[in-house]
Amino acid sequence: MFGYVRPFMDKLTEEDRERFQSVYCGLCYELGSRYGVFSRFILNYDFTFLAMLLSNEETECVDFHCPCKWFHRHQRRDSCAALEIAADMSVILSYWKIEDEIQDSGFMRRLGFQVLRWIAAPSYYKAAKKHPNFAAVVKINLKALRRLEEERSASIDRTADAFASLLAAAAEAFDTEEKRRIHRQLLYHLGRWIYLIDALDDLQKDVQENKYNPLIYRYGLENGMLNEENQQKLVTTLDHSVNLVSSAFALGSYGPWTGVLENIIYYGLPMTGRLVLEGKWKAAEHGGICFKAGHGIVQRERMETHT
Amino acid sequence: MITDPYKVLNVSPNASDDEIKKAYRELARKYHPDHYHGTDLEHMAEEKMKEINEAYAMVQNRRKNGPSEQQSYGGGYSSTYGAGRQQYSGSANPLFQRIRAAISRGDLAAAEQMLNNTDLRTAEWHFLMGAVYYRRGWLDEAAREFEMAVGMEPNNMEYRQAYQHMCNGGTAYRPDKYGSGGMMGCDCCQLLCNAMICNCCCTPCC
Repeated sequence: MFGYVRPFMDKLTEEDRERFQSVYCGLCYELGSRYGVFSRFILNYDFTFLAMLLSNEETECVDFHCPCKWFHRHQRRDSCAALEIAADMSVILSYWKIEDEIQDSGFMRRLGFQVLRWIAAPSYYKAAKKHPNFAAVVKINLKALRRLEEERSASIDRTADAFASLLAAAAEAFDTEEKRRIHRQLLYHLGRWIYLIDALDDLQKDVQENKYNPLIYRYGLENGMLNEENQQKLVTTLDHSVNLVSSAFALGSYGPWTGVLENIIYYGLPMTGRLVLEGKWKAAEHGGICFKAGHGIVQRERMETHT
Repeated sequence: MITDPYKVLNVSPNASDDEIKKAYRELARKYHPDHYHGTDLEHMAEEKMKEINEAYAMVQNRRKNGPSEQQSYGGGYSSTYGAGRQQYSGSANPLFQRIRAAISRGDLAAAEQMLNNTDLRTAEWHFLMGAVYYRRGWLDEAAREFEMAVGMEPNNMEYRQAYQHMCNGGTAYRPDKYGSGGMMGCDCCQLLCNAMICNCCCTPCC
C-alpha cells in the first residue's frame, strides 16, 4: 500500500517504540519465511498497523539478524495469527496492484511488472487459497476503481470507496461479530483517508503528467492548486474520516497495543495529512524528519533546531 | 447484567467518589452518542453508554446504602449523558417514513432504491439521501446533500444539525493527553512544522 499510517516516534514511550519496532520486524520476518525473500519488499507500515489491531495479546519477542542490517540484532515479535494474516493480506493486495500496473503502464514498464507478477504469483496463490473472500473483494474493487478512473469520475467518495471497501474487507479476519463491525468502520475510513491522502500527494505530478486524479475533477482544478475554500473542504472531509476511525477505535480494546495505536491515530494520521497538504511529505524523507524503515515518523533534528 | 460495576468503570473498588466520578465522565465522553450518530456503530455505543450509566448508578447506590441494597439503580443518569441527538424524527410523507425506517435498520440499498424511484426532490429527499451516503461513509456526497437540504429549508433544525456536523468534520473522543485534533489543529504538527521551517539546521539523515 502506501505507508502513510505511521506513529510519531517522539511521543512514544521507549517501551512502545520497541513494541512497534518488534511488530514491524516480525511482519518482515513473517513475509520472508512464508513467501520468500522477495516478499520482504512489500513490507509496509499500513499492514503493521493491521497486525497490531488484530493482535489480542503480546507474543514473545525473539532475537534475529535483520537482513538489511546484519550487524544489528533486532527483536522481532514471534510468529502469530495476526502477523500471518497481515502478511497474507499484504501479499494479496500487492499482487493485484501489480496486475493493475500491468494494465496501466507503457510497454517497458509493463514488461517490468510482468516479471514481478511472475515472481509474485506463487505467493499470491498460496495466500489467496487461505483468504479466498479477501482476494475476491480486492480483485472486484480494484477493477471498480479502474473503471471509475477511466470514466474520470468527479466523486472523491466513489473512487475512495473502492479502496476503502477493500481494506474494510480485512475486518472479516476478526474473531467476533462485534469486532468485525467495529473494524469495518475503522478500516473503511482508514482506507478512504489513505486513498485521498495519496491523491493529494500525487496531485501536482498527476496534473503535469496529465493523469487522472479525483481531486482535479471534484474541485475543477486547472493548475493542480486547491484554493482556500476547496482546501478547507478537503481537510474537513479527511478529518471527518479520521474522527470515524477514532470513534470506532474507542469501542475496541487493544491491550498492550493501545499506546502505539493511539499514537498512530491521534498523532500520526493528522501529522501525515498536514505534511502531505503542505507538500512536505516527500521532502521530509530527506530532510528534518526521518522515515527510516521501522522508525516511523522520527523528528531527528528537533533538538538541533532548538539549540 | 453487570456483576462488577467497578470493572466496567475501570476503577478500583477502593477509589474515592471523585475518582469514580472522573472515570465515569471520561467514559461518558468516550461513548458520547454524537460520535456515533448515523453510523453502523450507533447501537453498540448506546449499549456501552447504558452499561456505564448502570454501573455508575450501582456504585453510587452501594456507597450510599451499603452493599445489601442494590436493587434501585438505573434511570437517573441515563438522561444525563444517554440522551444524544434524536433518532431521525418523524415525517409527514409515508414514503419518507419508510425510507427513514430503512436507514435506521441499516438497509441502505432499499432506502436508496426508494429515493431514486420518486420524483419528489424536496429538502427532505436531499436530507435522507445525505443520511444514506453518510452511513455508507461517503462523507463528501453526504455534505453536499445536507447543504442542499439546508438551502431549501433553512429553518429545519434537523437538516441544519446534520450539515453543521459535516462542516465540523464530525466529532470523536480523544484522550486529553493527545491535545486538540485535526490536521490543522494537532499540537505536534505545529511543532513539526516549526522545525521544518528552519531546515538550515537540519542535516540530512538516513
